[in-house]
Amino acid sequence: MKYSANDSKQTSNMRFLASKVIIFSNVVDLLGVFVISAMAILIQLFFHELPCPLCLLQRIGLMGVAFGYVLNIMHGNRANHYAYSCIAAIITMFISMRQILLHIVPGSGGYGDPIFGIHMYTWVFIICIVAITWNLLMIIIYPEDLRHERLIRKVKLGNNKFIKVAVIAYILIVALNFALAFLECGTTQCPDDPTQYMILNNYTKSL
Amino acid sequence: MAFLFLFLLIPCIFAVSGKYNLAKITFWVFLIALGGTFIHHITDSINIQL
Repeated sequence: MKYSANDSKQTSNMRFLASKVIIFSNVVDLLGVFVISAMAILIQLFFHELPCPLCLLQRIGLMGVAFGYVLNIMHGNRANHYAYSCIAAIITMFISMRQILLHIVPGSGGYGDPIFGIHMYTWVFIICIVAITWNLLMIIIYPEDLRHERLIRKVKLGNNKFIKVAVIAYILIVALNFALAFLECGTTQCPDDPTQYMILNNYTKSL
Repeated sequence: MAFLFLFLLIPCIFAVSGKYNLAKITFWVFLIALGGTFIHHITDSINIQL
């Protein structure tokens, strides 16, 4: 089969368009993690549901999943960035599985109120499975070669203002989570069933 | 446990400020810390002896 110059140009245009779509999908993924983390913080602050140690680990893990997307956005779409996300998603999946198994016996109750009939740790498990599948698909359908290197230089998102705001919002939510976790547990491991902000309470008692 | 968020914050700041290799190395540190904390949590809560 012979390819004409026109075919080659068309393929190149298609690859350019595909890489633009794929790199924008990273922004959607990042915003997805941002919304989930923001919802968890809102539930913590307004419904006074303090996160348990495993819940905190799942939060950190989900934010670790988004780090691969930040690298894709800031430094170009690469397979190893998806692999970083995948490793974080696998660890987070194990953490949520551990919590599901803790409450799997009927009648043993769950931690926190269910959202749409499913507990938050089960949602995290489902999200991790989706994230692992998505990242592996991206690694398969978006192979790296010389043309890909040229595309990475062509398709850049780091200077876009909206993208910068999304990345900074992600970093701010990690920082906010650090502050909340520190107020809840200090530098030690959190209690299994926390009822108060330990550091905050100790500070107000000392006044 | 709060410091795990700090371990994630560091590679994010490196990634945004353009220090790509440092971001990758510090993210590995974060992944090891996350996995280690989880294993410590399991061994601590079920009180097993290795």
